[in-house]
Amino acid sequence: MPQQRFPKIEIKHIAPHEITFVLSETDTSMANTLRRIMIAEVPTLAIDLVEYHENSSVLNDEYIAHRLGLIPIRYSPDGTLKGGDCHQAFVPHRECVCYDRCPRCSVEFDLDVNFDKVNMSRPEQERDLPLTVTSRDLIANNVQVSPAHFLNEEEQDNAHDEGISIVKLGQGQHLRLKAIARMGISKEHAKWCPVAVATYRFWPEITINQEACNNLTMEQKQELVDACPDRILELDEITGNLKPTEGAEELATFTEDLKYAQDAMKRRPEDDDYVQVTHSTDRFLFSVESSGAMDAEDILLSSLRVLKDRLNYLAAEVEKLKD
Amino acid sequence: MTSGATIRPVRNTYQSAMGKQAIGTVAINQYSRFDGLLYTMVYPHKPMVKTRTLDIVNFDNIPAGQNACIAVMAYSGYDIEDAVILNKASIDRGFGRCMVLKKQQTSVRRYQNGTMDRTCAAPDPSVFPDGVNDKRFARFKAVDKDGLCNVGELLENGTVIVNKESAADLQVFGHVIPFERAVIRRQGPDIVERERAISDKGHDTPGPPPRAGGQVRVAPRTEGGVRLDSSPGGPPVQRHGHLARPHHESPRLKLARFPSRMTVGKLIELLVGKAGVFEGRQAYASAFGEEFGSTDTVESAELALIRNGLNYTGKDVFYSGVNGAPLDAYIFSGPVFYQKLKHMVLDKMHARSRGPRAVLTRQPTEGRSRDGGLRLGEMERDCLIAYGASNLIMERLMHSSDAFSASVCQSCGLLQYKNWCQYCRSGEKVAEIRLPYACKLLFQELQAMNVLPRLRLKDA
Amino acid sequence: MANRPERSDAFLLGDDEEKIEYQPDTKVANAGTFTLNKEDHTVGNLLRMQLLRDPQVKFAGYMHPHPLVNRIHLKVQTSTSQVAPTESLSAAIEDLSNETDHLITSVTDAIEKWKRENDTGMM
Repeated sequence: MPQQRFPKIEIKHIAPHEITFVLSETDTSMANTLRRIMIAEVPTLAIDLVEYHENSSVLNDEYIAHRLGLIPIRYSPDGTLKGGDCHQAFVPHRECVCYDRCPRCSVEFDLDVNFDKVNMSRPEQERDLPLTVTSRDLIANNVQVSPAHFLNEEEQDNAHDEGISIVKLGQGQHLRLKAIARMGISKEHAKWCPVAVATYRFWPEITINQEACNNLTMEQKQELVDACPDRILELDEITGNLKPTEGAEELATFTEDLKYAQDAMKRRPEDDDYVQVTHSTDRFLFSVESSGAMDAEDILLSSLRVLKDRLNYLAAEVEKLKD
Repeated sequence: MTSGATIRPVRNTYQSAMGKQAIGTVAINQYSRFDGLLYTMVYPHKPMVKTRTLDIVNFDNIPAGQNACIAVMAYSGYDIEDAVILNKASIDRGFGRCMVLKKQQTSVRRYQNGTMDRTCAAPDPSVFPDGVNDKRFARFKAVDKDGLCNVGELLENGTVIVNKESAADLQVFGHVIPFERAVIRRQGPDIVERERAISDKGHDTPGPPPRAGGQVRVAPRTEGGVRLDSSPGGPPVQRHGHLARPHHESPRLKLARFPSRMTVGKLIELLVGKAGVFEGRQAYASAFGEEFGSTDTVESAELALIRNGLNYTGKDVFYSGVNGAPLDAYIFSGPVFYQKLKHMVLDKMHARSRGPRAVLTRQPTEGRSRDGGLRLGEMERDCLIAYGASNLIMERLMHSSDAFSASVCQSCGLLQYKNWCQYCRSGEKVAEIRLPYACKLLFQELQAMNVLPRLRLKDA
Repeated sequence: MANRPERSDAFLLGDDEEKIEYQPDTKVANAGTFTLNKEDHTVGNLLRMQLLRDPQVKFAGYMHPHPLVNRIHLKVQTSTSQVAPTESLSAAIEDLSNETDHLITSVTDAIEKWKRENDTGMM
């Protein structure tokens, strides 16, 4: 007998770096599995190997390698700035048939910054200042892959920022290296994590017991409104009744302040609550923020694909057990 | 120095001692100095909560720790007592990452017979039986023509850092004295950070002779057994084995609990720090406040928290990372400044089953650096005596230490050699016994001082 | 440290490992323990909750023995001998797989719908 559910998705907002949506008609296990996969198992590209040819900067090799590893690397299949899912384009390096590395499983970046050479082309007044080597100096051997500096062209044009700084060079210093990016998941290292934040909250159910509230004075109602630091309540200007503010569901933090405030107002401890804020059990407000390596909506889609692949794999393995 | 220094003054004293062991910025010129051992933190933070003293000493510019967001709760059972559970992703991103620079050096002397130590290039590969592929030749791979290691070279166990040669005989005055090789080697895979050249100055001036050597760099990851310490009189916090939890299982960065010896200061630091985070500024927690009243009080922090839509006690709803359900309790959380202390298990752990012995006593050597044994001291021995574990005492104090077979003449009671009593001129009554070598040594030293110990043997 | 386990041990199946092993319970009827190698709470909790929704499953629980051990033990007991634990697990995976399929289509639709309604020209 199938026990399948048909969850619903309602999108609140999409931006390249952020997606908020409501997942409903499923349970916590599904919501949490999605969250866990988005954090730990969505594959992305990140610099994994660095070959140094010359490093006379103030930072040592390991330090720079660590910094390079944490730069989000974006795979944009169609020449736009959109960060796409890279799992079809690359194979995990451990599964690749090549001997060491090949374009199928890795992307090479070259970085060659020589202070003395670059300094000639800098404005006169800046020549005494140290030169910052940034992620923009990384040149990939694959046009579809680039370090993620900006989410869109507009931001890139407006920002004063010059990419992600790697190290500052002074006179006579030279940094030349080859960085090799590979596909991986953040179970191995957090640099492969596509999300900065991936969280969900239970949808709050705010019930106001108007009958009980009628026994309250305006001052007491105002006190209840003030008690909530997350500002989920307000007074109706016309009727003077308590009502949830607009978008209260997205603001609610389930704080205990409200409970204490109304307990103090009750005549008897067993009286009904004036306002109740409870966790809904099958409605989740997700908020996913990308690190820049992938667009937020693609992270969501990719996580679903990872889950689907995993379940298919497990199903096949269970079939094998039956024999 | 200690933020929120309040009750329990001892803890302030402890922190004053411990703050000096924290890894951070030693001095502005730390990379130009040639310290014997230098610990530096890779990504130090300004503390989220500071004090007036920290301002006066410019601590923000030479920080020695990192702000960690902690949640105070029991989670998973691996966080007993002082342990904290770290988020694995935060370690990956550089939490607690440090760099250790160690000096390896040797002296280059001039001797009375006019000879002088010299450093020279690697020997010709033809000296070795397998030529270039010889393992003994491979040890010299880091050495440059001047006999010193190159900067940036990877040193493996046994790699030569300085190829030094000294005259074989330092007493003889003559023209041709053969030189012997004396090298300094390095254990473990490290990387040469800097080399130190020999200067000509100093050979004839008093003081220590000039030295040659290199500084090697080790980059240990934050791992099991690193000592962390939070400043407001917090105790040393020992991190657990490899039990850093993956990001997707951690409610926040770190989990800890406050044993009763923690001061109110830590609670205040956390609350004031959390308010500071949301207000976007560093918070103040000087001990007695200041005249101009910039110190953040608990009240002002609470108001700031409420202003930012949080509960004034600093507690929030947290969700379990394992099954996604909200946790039953409200969890107290916020930033705390953690110092990483320079004690690392990797530098301290030691065990041996067999190994070198001291020449004089034939007992195992002492200390980790000499691969020494672990001493069963007098107090431990007393315990064994009290318990009556005589065989264990025999094993620990003799068989596993410096057991020695000696001949004893039963008529004169003196230690003899090889079944022949030179004193009695007879081999008849010489018996073989086992005793600690140190004991035999004692008897002989006493004899040398005209005290004659005689052994009276009995059948056991 | 020297004996640190490889990070990739958490998700790469070893050469001598099976993905799923099944051990029927010797004392309890219609029960058995599945060992899922290289899996963690992500799959464990999902399968457990899905199994619990099956009326023919009497018991379903999983255990992650230790944070350094990369496997989970999933114990399943069914209420009748008509249904083997393997069958229930298979059905649970099937249901979840369909649920995921449904999610994929609804997410794709929802994203398209949102973009149509909020045409910012950004995309």
